[in-house]
Amino acid sequence: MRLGDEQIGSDPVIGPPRWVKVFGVVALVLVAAFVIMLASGHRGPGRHIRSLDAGESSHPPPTGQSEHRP
Amino acid sequence: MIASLFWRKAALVAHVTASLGWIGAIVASLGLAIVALVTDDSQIVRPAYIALNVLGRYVLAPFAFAALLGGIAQSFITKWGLFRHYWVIFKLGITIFATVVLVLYLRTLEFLAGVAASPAVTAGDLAGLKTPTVVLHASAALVLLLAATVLAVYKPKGMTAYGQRKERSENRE
Repeated sequence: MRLGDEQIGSDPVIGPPRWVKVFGVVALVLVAAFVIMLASGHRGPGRHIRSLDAGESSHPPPTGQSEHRP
Repeated sequence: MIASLFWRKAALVAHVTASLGWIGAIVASLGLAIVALVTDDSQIVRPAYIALNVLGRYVLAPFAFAALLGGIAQSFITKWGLFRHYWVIFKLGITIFATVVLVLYLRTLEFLAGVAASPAVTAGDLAGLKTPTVVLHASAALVLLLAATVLAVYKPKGMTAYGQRKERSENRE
């Protein structure tokens, strides 16, 4: 059955179902968060890995490197 | 314009294949990112980030654009249209959002791969590579694409005002 068949013939436009409203709110929140992140410049390598981007090596050496001996 | 059954099926095969390839590449990226995050072995961390960059640039991005364009093409040659049904609009929005984030994130993947491939990489650099950002992005992409898949399979009811008007005018003709 084609979607919306039950709506044919009724003149007034039927509003969106509940799932659309829920999805819409979630989508708005996601997009707003993304736009705010972009606008504040919190994106790109510098945002994700600050210590590397700044040319620092402030992290402790990972275990398992050559200098580590059990 | 609704295409013949042959072309609709051909376009659907192309769209589903591109979407599957995209999801598969995300799962592969997630696996690599998790391994790179949890292991302490630099022999695994470095090639993992180089592979992630290759996957992003030459697999994820092409499949993402193919899935997006295939979905738009589908809407033009089938009864569903692009703005007639809410589920189509949400699926389009999800695909555009995921593609934009992916394209922006390619810079980060390139940077991580550059650090991993550098012959002068230090232990501190390798520690810096162990960031959860790739796991988070891949997980979020997987959730988004699974949501798009659920929408495509269940096709929940709900026509837009535009879709209802179009349907009525078509039924009058």
